[in-house]
Amino acid sequence: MEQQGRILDGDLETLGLSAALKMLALSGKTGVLNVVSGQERLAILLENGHIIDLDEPGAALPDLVDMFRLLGTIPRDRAYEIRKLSGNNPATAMTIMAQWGLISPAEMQQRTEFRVIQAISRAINWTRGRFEFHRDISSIQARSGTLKPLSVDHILLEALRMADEWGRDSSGGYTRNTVARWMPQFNGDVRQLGLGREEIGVLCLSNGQFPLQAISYALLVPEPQVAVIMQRLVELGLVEVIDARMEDELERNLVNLFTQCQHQLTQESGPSPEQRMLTLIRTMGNCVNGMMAHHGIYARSLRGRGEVPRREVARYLDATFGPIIAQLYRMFPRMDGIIRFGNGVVDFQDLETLDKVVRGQELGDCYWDAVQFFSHLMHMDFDCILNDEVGKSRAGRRFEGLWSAFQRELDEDIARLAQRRAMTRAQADRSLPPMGGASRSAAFAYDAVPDVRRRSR
Amino acid sequence: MDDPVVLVVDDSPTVRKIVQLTLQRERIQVVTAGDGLSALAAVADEQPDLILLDIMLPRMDGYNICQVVRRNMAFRDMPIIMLSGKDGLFDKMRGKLAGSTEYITKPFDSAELVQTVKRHLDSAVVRERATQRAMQRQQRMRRRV
Repeated sequence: MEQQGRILDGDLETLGLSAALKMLALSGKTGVLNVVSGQERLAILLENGHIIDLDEPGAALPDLVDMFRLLGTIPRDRAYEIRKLSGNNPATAMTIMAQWGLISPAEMQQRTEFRVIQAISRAINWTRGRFEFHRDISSIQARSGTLKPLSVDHILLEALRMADEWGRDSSGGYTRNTVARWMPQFNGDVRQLGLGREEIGVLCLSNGQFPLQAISYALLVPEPQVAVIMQRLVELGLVEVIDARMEDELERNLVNLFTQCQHQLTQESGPSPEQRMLTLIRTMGNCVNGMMAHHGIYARSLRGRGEVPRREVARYLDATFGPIIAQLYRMFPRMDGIIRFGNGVVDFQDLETLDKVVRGQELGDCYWDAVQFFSHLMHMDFDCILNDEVGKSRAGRRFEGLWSAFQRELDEDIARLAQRRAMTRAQADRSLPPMGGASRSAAFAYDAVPDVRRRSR
Repeated sequence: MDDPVVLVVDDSPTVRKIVQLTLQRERIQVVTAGDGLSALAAVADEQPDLILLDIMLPRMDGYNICQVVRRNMAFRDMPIIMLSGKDGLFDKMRGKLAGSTEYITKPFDSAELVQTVKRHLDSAVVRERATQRAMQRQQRMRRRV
């Protein structure tokens, strides 16, 4: 953050955004309040303790011309003209629209107020990060007088109300960057669906280009409400949801994880089945931990909240994957205590040193259980992660392809191992004198675990 | 100009899928082959702009494929990027001697892969090949009309 002219700074854990804003409002300050939390940034411009504007560095102002054209507010040729004159600059385009009377001064004021409330409602939940207030008179002077100053108390109240609405779990986990696009295969008659005015507006703007926040800004409908409408349109099969930027990041992260795991799988292991099993255990164990770490970043309920404390992420991962692991302990009781789970990480270090404690057939059986344990865990984790992160989107379908390729490689390896184990056991059985069926069936019982890895989607 | 075509040769379906996903996002067409002989067939049929080639392959290894491709005048300048888990100097030298253009060690980072592929696809030779391919397609269309 900028150091020049700084008159106040602190961290959000000590003094939240709302408290800092109130303090500056009460003392009638003029300057810029910069707030940073993780990748998120905000600059609030204050004049004599009133908000006059707000900037979101890195986030472009939504393009109203295109959205107004889609909504039918301005004709195509006028939109083309505005575009040409403004050089595709949304701020200039808005000024032109105001000059041409397409937007009234009152609407300009309303839009600014709306944008400020939306942005602050998001930032009000940031618990980690820093803020700085400095007297940057030049940027204030440039904007002073263009709009009526906004009362901090009013903005904070509205922002808190909005944040509460986002908090209610009715928005389907959508974020302000969520993008929806029309479903190409919809065959019904939209008029028969009884959609309201706002719903039609959201549907018109769901062309796969505008994020939720831009649609909200164009329609002047609060973001949480747009999220609920979008959810309804998804349920009606009219649109599907995409979050391009997040999906790109998410995809890169998963692709890199699978590249690492596939490489580990191809590493030379020793000639014995036990050594190969250990390689498989390491590969799958690291893959499971990698997937959990990935989910700690991209889980729906953790997205769009700035920097989430590590403890909270671990708690979420424990709550999500704990029941799956408990179920696997019941299927493979031998693994309870050897493979441990806590703080969002699967600890399988004991398996690395197991050969110092157990030998022979028992060691092989333990490793085999661990292989099966991790194989099941990987499938169940991936199902859970994919369903939560991308759902039935196009990215979800792409990951399915990648996952099934990796799964095929793993399954082929496991099948080869099962074959080798069966052969070794058959040889051992032939060399042993006949014995009662009970103890032998117990040893074979481990292979007869029902396959619960079937995809639920 | 058409989208560039990259041939990915690897016996692992996971690696083929990973590279496909990564490159398709960059508007690069991907064709794949799982063994040496299918790779040679794909080079002749698809005439790719670049080959990403694994070393350890069934039926014919990556070094041999590289040598066979280089012997053909039509593919002499085609970039061939070796993609292998072997990162010793000896393996890299062997790849170079067989005629590879560059060597990427597995596990690779997707961003690094894209960067390397794009760098080679941007070369004048590849651009010329793509233009020629587009012209050939146009001529075929005209003949049909």
